[in-house]
Amino acid sequence: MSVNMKCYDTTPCIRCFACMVGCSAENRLRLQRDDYIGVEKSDQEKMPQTYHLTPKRKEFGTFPDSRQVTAFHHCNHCEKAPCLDICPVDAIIRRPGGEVVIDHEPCIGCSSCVDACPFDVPVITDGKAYKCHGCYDRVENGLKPSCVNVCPTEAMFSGAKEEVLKEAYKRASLYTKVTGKEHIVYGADKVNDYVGSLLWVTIIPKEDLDAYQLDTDPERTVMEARNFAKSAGAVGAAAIVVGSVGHLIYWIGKRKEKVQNEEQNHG
Amino acid sequence: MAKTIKVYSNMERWFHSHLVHFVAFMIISGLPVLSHSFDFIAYGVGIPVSTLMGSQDILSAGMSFLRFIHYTSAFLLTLMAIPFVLYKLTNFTTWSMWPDKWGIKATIDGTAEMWKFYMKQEHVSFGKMNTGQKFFAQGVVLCMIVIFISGYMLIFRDMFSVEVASYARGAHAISFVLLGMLLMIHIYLATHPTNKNSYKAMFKTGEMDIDFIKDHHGIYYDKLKKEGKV
Repeated sequence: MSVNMKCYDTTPCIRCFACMVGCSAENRLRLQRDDYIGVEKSDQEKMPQTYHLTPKRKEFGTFPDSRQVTAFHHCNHCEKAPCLDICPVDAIIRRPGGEVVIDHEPCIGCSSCVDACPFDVPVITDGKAYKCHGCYDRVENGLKPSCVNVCPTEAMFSGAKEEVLKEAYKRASLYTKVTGKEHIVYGADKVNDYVGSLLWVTIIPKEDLDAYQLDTDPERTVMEARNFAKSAGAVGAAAIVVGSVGHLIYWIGKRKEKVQNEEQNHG
Repeated sequence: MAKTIKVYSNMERWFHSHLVHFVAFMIISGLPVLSHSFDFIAYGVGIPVSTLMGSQDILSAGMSFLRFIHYTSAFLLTLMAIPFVLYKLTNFTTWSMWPDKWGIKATIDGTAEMWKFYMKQEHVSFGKMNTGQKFFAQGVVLCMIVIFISGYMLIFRDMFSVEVASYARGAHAISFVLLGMLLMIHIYLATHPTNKNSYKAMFKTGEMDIDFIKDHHGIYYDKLKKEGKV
């Protein structure tokens, strides 16, 4: 199975939010399917854990040249997913298609993934962590992810990574040519060392990265320090054990030598 | 004249001996969360727990149980620390962990004394604590404060932003790694043959031979003499 990628193109997006509704509807159906919840309850309750694609509205620019931008907040299925690395119960796995998925059965809701994610994506509800799973169940059965499926303008498209990237670069190049503004494919290349490249990429004018709240250096400095401390701690602990054993052997040898010398002097 | 003198109060000995238990519980229960290298602890605990509870995932069952142990130990340690901290705060300025002399030269001299004692086995005169013990005690107190604050922040994480909670998690782990290394050195030196009198005093009688103090802790002996205790 090839690695799957999703792309959000900001240019044809008409802000209908069908993707968000589609995402939540699909997740509610999943809960019904898995017998966690009945039809009525799943229709009537808000259930924030079912919204894996949420809007982040921001006023951008200064009056009178200001505008409102609604950025999308979602899991980026990072190449070096920090949530996957930190999960102590191995509840976060990577599917063959590359989707980073939380298995709710072993999840103990410890919030490690919440702390490690530089995009603030996972949410904890009722002692379990929730985030986008890339509709891996649909994709592995030949369907498109729900958000892509409902998008009326093909602002969201998905497929094999190579094909999506080809289309994304083609569109970015066209937009750059037509508008005169440089368009980029955010996440296609390595964003930084903490997350690597992303499997959810965004076509966007470079100057709008900030408006769409696309972090060019997503990181949790303290978590990197934690990882360093772990490595340094392992080396330090080994050095202390070796040093202690070495010192004890040396000390005993020295002590014997000293006692022998004292006995000779007294003898 | 008495041949021994009390060097550790009953409160200090009570706190130290129970601190050992709780810290051991907290280390064992915390290590699997810190690193997958210690998953075997969670699996070891998880097998009986998942069998008893009927849960499916061994690792999750073990980790949940260890988390319960971690939280309970933290709570009990906090309760235990309250009287000890209050007791110690009454004589804050006379704590043995404060240097006899402050400054870089005094630190270098103190380190040189330790080198002479532990490497060359020469006779030196320490205070109640040597320079290394003082640094250890300061490091432990600092790490414990950070661990305590960040630990409670993580328990009550809903009161903080994700960013702040993330900092707390990082600080908790980093200070634990530092504390762990300090403890390894402390355990080695505390159980070292040359320190058996101190070990006995801490874990058995609280008392130390005056002759031993005079011989190994000359500065401390002079202080006791000045105070009229020997």
